[in-house]
Amino acid sequence: MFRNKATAFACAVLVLLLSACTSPVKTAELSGHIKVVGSTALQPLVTRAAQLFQQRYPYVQISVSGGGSIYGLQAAANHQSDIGDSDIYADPALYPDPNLTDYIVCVIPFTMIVNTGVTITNLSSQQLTDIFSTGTVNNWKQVGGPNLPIVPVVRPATSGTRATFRKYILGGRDEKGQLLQTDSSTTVLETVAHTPGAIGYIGLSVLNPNKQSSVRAIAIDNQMATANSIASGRYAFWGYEHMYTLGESNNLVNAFLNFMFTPTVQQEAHKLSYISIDVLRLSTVKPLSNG
Amino acid sequence: MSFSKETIATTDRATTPALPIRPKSRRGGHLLLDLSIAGRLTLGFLTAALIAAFVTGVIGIERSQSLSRQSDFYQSLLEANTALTTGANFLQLMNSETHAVLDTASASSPSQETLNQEQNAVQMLTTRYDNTLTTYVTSNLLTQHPDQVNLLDEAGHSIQVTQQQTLASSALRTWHLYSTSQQEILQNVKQGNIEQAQLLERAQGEPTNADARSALSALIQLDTRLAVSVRDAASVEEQMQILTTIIAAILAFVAIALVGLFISGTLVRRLKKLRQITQAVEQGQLHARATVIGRDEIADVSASVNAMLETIIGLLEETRRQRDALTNAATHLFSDMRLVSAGELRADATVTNDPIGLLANAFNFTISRFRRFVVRAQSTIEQMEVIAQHELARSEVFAQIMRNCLQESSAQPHPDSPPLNRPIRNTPSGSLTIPDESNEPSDLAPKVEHIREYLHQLNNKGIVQHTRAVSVLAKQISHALRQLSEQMKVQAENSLDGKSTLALLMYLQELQRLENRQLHMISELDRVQKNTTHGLRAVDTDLDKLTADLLLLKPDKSQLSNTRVAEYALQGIGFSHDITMLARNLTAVAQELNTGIVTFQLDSIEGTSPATNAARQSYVLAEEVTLEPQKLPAPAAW
Repeated sequence: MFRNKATAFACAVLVLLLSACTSPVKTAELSGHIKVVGSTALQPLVTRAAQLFQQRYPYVQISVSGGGSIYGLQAAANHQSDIGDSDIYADPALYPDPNLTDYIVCVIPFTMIVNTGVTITNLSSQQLTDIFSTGTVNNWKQVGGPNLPIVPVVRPATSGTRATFRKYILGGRDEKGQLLQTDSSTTVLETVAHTPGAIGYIGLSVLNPNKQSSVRAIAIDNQMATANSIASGRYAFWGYEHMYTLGESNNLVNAFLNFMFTPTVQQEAHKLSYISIDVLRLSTVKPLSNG
Repeated sequence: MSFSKETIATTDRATTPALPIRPKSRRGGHLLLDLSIAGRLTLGFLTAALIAAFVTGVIGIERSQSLSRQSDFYQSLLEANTALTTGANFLQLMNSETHAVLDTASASSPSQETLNQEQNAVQMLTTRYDNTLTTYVTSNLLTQHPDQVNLLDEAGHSIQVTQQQTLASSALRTWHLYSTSQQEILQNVKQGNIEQAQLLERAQGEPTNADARSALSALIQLDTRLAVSVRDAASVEEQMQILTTIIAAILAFVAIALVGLFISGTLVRRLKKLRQITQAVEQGQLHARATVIGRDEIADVSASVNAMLETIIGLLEETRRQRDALTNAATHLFSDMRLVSAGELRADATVTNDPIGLLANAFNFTISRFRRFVVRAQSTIEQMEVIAQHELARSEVFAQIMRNCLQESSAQPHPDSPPLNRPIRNTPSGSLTIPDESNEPSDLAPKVEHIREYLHQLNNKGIVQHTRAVSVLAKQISHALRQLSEQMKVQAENSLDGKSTLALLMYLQELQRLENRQLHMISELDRVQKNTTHGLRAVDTDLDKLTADLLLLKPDKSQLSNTRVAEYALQGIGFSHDITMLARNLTAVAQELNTGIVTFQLDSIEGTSPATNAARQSYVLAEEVTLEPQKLPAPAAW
């Protein structure tokens, strides 16, 4: 009997020790500073995520700022910030560092907005091309709207949103329109709201919190920017949100990036009108049209 | 005796309990206790070996399985990586080929063949890359390999599964966009819209190619990170397996210890009980018995220990019985010996086959011999008595004759004297007849001569011979007694217990006493014999002198004076008186001897018995008579 009791006790002690060994790094020990710069489209989510992260780990400080996707990429590539948010892909030619790791944290849907004076609700991709690029359509009555001159609101060349619009809607063509000086989604919103006949595009994450009565979202090819339409591939005007970082060995940065994928943050993304990545699995596999 | 032994045997069998095969308690070890010890030990060792082998096998198999899983994962990652890297190459080549196409197309005189070649190249690359990506998406994703997903879960990197899906979809999307624009460019080239094609290439083709390559490189990077995750998972698994190994080893150790404990219990418990039994027997408790449980060697030993104890008890009882019988026989013998000691020589002890019985036999023999001796001695003594009486009579006759002679000489010396009173004739044993009436000295000499002869005869034949015979018999008896005592001594040494030894020692003492008396008797007989011999010899010398005197007297008959004759007659009377005394003393001695023998008490041999004193006195007197013939004892002493 004594022998059995002793061995049982020893076994229990051993189990406790080993389980302690196998447990991961104590999460309460995280401390440090993270700097996040880049995309303004992703900024709301990152800010919210940073708040939540700092609540869980009081010794961590995260600073989130904007500046645009390209600025974010450059900062990340040059070690000026820990994480660079970006709406666009990092060109392997421009950023050849193989350690520059891409984390796709969510999907941002974009939508075309028009001034409420414009009565139409839908525009086709061709019409958009005509409006924004070729300029053949310059009055709303040409597309079934009122007799108003169309005022396309154009973002600066550094804008990732603009790049996405050009790639996925304009097919690579240039934009012609009222050029904005700064790449700010809120500016676009205000411009469209206060300019009759104006049309612009904006991310839903910016539009929905700042709902204004004088701006209305319209459909492209009869598809609104919803998770469903994006997931099924019918709506093309959306983009991945990337968080680029150099180097994997930073425990804190990895912890924060992993935190971005937790359901907590993804729910926040949904709340903020992003689309969480688990919605968008592999349903974008479309049959390729080969020649 | 044999019947009693048989009954003893049957009762032994009856009291031995039948071997119980099934114990009342401990249900678990039934079957095991029926196995032989070798079988049980073999079973135990085999069980232990089985447990150890099983545990080792399980642990080994688990380890090898986990290692194979990891290696499979690495293998698949490597394959995917190779494929994707090749795909990245394709994208690059596509870009350069498209450029080449445009350059060729925008040349002043474009070579159609080259153009076609390049366009075909582009198409082929496109197809290739399409296949690569499709293959990857359809078969290399983690979600299609659940064990790989499990592996990542162990390492805590399950996020990477979703990541991979997202990156794969992003790669597909960008590729789709690029391929669309590429098709458009090539279309334009075919249609001859070189400028448009170039514009498209610059505006859409290159950016989208860059996007596609970026997405692909992100995917490749993820695969690299997956390898790191697998390494983490491997270390986690290793730790888990160390834990499992330790726990399994401890459990196996405990299990084997339990098995060993159990089996040793089946052996040790009963052996301890057996030891208790034997210890109890050591301390003298022969009634403890072992309980026989099972059918193995220990059960056999227990059963045989029980049987052994029963046998021992039986032997003890048998010994006790024999000793009692022996004691009984010895007691009987002792009582017989007492009888003999008291003087009853006809005792006859019962003869049996045991040592006491044999002793009794020897005792009987000795006693019978002794009795015969005693009887013989008695007869001898009677003879001696007779002889003595005879002698007494004869001496009286002689005295009478002497008296007559004296009377005749004192009254008238007649040659022809009237016949005197004839003394009584002797007993038939005596040969001394009264000679004829002549009491002349010349007639006295032959008479004296006759007396002398008769005394010789008596000395030689009667007394000496008989006493010698008696002493020889006595010596034989003492020898036999000694032998008997030795036998008893031997018996005493070999006896079974103290009681019989004590009895035997008592008998031994009795026999020794007997022997001592015997020796005394012998010595006394010798002395008597010597005394008698001496006395008779003295008588003989006296008679011889008398004869000489008489012969001297013969030729000088005439000178025979009455006083001389009277003197001689008086001497003769005195002498005969002495003889009478001697004879009487002899009688007395003989009587005493007789009584002594009868009563079996010759203790006071050395003491002052009146017979001995009388004998001594007579001997002294006889000496006086012979040495001083002048000395005349008073005839009135009669």
